[in-house]
Amino acid sequence: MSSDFEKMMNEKMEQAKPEELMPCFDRNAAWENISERIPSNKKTRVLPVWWTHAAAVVVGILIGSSLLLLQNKQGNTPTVATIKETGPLKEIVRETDTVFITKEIITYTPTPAPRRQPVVQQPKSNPLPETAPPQEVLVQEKPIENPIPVAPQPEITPEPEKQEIKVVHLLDIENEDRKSALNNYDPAEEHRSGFALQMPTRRLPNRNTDQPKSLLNSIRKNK
Amino acid sequence: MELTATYYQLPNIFIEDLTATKTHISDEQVLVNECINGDRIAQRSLYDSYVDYMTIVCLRYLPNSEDAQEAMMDGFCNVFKNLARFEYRGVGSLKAWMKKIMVNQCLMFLRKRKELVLQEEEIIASDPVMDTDAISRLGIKELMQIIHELPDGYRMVFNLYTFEGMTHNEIGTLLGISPNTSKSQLHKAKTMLQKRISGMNQ
Repeated sequence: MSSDFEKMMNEKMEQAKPEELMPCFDRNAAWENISERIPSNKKTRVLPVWWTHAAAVVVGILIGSSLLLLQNKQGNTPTVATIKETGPLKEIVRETDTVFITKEIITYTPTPAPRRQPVVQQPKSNPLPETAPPQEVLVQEKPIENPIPVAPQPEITPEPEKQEIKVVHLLDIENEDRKSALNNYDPAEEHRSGFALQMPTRRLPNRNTDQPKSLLNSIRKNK
Repeated sequence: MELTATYYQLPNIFIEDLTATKTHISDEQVLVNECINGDRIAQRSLYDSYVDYMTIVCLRYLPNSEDAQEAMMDGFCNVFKNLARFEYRGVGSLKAWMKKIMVNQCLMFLRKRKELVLQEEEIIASDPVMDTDAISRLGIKELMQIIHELPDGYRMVFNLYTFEGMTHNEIGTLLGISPNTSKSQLHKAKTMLQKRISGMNQ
């Protein structure tokens, strides 16, 4: 039994709107929250059964073809191994059907030329006379047994020394003479190397050659 | 020999009644079936039809706006999840079923927070006479404010008895109290309401 009071209260509540009582009420935001939590009829795509069988067959074909290709590659290519041997000078060349050994060519050093070496044969008590020049003894090294024949190498002839021709002007002669004299002065070789040999210059026909000598003498005197 | 059309015609009244109820049943029933199938448009349509009413129901039990909105959203989730178990029994059956779900959701919310405390007391007294004229002059805001000012226990019993139409036995079973306690709680709630309404009108 519902009284008038209860009927009136129910009528009031039926006419009420949430926005009047809750200013911050957002029905759209509330629906988004609800929709995320309730199931929907999103159709999940299910692959047919035959697709899985076809995929398994394709994978098997790929694996088999890759294995076959690998086997073919291994059968055709021979194995190559390089072996280095160190030791006596031997030429080793060996080959079989599948193994190839490359030969190492070791360079052969030819017998060195005899070198001149001063040898003191007498003790100090019996010194050699000063006037006697030192005796030269040829020392020859033992040749190596069983030398490896080496292909004759072409003789290399040294190229003749090129003499640089230097053009010196008349005015610069004196300056250059002084410079060269100071730099190349060697009293031990003075008697052998003349100034003319040290620096070959194009001689002028009327050049006085005594002039450099007088300069050298003056330098010597000053010392 | 011609057969008259009237011989085979049904009375118009019956035809109209059948068509009216058939269309009314078909609309709501079809909507429920589509919601069960997961049709988003149907679900949104059902939500828009009952969101205002269900929000007010939750607001009656939970004074806080945020708590009421949360209970309303949880209630709608339970509605859509359990819609397959609903048996359509005519016009209004869906609304009543949804309302029960919302009330249970509000009670669970209060029990979680341990705010639903009911003291067992058996003071058997007649209900006070309510001033309906004064109540009619009040707006929905003032009325809701007066209901929110009631203690939680008084408010529960008042809402269940006044708006849900439950008996004291049903209220006692739902809240775990005796029917006499339910009566006592209702009596106190109405007394407080009347005092408040009288004070507002003065």
